[in-house]
Amino acid sequence: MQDVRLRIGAAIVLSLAAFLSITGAFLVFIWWLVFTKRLQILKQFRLMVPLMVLMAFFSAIVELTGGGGLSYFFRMLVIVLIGMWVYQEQQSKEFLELAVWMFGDRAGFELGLLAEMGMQSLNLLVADFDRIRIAEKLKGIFWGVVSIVPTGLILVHGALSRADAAADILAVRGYHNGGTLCPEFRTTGTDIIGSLAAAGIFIITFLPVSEFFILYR
Amino acid sequence: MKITMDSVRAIRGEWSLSARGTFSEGVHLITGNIGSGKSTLALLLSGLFSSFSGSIDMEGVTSVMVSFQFPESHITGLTLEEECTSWGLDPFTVLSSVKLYGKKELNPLKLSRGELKRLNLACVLGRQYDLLILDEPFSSLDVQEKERVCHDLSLRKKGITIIITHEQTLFPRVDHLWEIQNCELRYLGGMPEALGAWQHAPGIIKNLMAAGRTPYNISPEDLLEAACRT
Amino acid sequence: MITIANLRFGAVGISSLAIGPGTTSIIGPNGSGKTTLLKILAGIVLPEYGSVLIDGAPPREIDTGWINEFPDRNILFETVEDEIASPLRFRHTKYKEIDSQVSLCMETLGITHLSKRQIRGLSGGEKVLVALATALVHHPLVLILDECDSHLDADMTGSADLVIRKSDVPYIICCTQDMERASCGDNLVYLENGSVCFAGTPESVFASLAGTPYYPLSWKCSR
Repeated sequence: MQDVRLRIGAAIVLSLAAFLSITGAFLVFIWWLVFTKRLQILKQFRLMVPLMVLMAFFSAIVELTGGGGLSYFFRMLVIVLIGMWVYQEQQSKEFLELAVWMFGDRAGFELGLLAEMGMQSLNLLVADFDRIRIAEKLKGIFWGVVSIVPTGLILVHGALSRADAAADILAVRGYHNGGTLCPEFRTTGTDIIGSLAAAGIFIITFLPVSEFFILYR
Repeated sequence: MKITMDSVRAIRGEWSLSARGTFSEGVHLITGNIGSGKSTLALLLSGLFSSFSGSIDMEGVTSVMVSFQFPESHITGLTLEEECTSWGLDPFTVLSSVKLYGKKELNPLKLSRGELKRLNLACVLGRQYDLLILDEPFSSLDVQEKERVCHDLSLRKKGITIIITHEQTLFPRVDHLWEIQNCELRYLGGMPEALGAWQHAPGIIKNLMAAGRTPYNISPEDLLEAACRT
Repeated sequence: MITIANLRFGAVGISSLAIGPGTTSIIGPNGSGKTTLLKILAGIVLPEYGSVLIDGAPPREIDTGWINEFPDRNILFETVEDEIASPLRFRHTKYKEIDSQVSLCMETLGITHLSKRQIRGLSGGEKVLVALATALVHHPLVLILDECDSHLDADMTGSADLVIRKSDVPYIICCTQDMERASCGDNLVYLENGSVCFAGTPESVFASLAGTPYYPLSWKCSR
């Protein structure tokens, strides 16, 4: 979906629809199969693994304590797939353009720049993690459960150090409060169809469908 | 002990690198411009980059270490002491050698880049490896440290040491010279025969050769000796 | 003139230093305070004590261009055009003026063909040219280069030097570990343990450093 405004809007309504009911989650999953580049998203599978482990854990607790764990897991999984779709389709400067379009060139620019730098940081965290794995392999260290905390701390330190450097660069480039930007968006026919479908799914989630069929009969 | 590259070819988008030749025991220097593929070559030789055609045969090589250009790539410890231990080395010996023992509780990421590079090199050179690959070992070092590292590297006789760099002034004494030219790794020869074929030789060396005073090797002492020759 | 008086910041302590226009190289051992001094001159950090004035004004009131050792890590935006335009955008320059200044800057540096490219996909030399363009697009009074030559080969360093000389920036302050380059500048400052040990022309400073590893090898060979 090329237009970031429609993409974020669709992601919000689809996530809500998936969260609210199993029917909604099922319809959102169909939407995901039809309107997204599924294979490319599934290639980012390893990014989903920690989330899925967490979801499985909480789903098991829900199932053991009252039932509905499977429904919860499926609904959360669909929301994660929507999130991965947004992440995979994100292009440089989109969040900045969206924020400026919504909130202007002061507050909007600040929020947008924050979002852009956050996304960059996320990509760099993944690269840092790969680097740490290689470093441990070279040193003959086996990466296991005990490595999680030290690795996490190194990643945090690295991110903070990069944030420091980014702050220096912003300062020296004269950043004070917002900036000039003329947002540009490109909307295609597929974007509109996908957005309408997302809106339709959201509406259906709130309709009492079974009662509709009773009336029809 | 030797490494034989046979019709090796690595491709990344529009960039490619071909390599053929044998690395025998001793110190090898590989030079080339930025973007010529030196770091990729380091990954190839260390077995960390597997997308290539051809073959790399490591005869008699049982241990491999590569030191990357950016020393942050190697950090796995939360303190300098932990970092040295992660290399299997005694923290006191290593940290004292680089004058960092007083900072042993400090997080490695808090060191200046030069200090971090010094520490990393001390850890890498603190153990013996059959194959040691150093990718830009001189970057971020001050001239005193560069001279000291050059001196230590000149003394390495056991194993295969491969130094990959675009450095232009300070070099250790080396046994073999290679250069990446037009996307191809070329063996230029032993010392001093290889100097004539070195396309991107530093200005000092070119000037000495033009004056008919070809140095026997490329360390600062060798260049001074050549300059003082009558 | 850049004047420093009674400066104190962390381990850096400089009682007085005057730097004239032209290219000034700052040299010294690792940890001697070179980057800290550059950050003070750029206005990134404020001195704890003392004063720094550039043509009579404090660094934060002066337009400064900055390139650090790793141009890769200087990047705020992903495309070349956005990165070069960023200093102008942050200054709330009007859109049309941003477009024309960025186009002119890219044309001067010969990188117009890179405008829509992703910076991470560029070669090392191209990244340095983009970093230079970003630093020069707003016509700074001071250009600060923190060991950015340490990851460049000889050809690239030459190209970067040509661009910098053509830019007519009055003050160029560069920190370097390449004594051959330092010997070609207009001024030289040697720092050790946070203090200025020697300052002046390259000839006078290197004369004081004769016999140390800091004396240029080419000078040793020719003398």
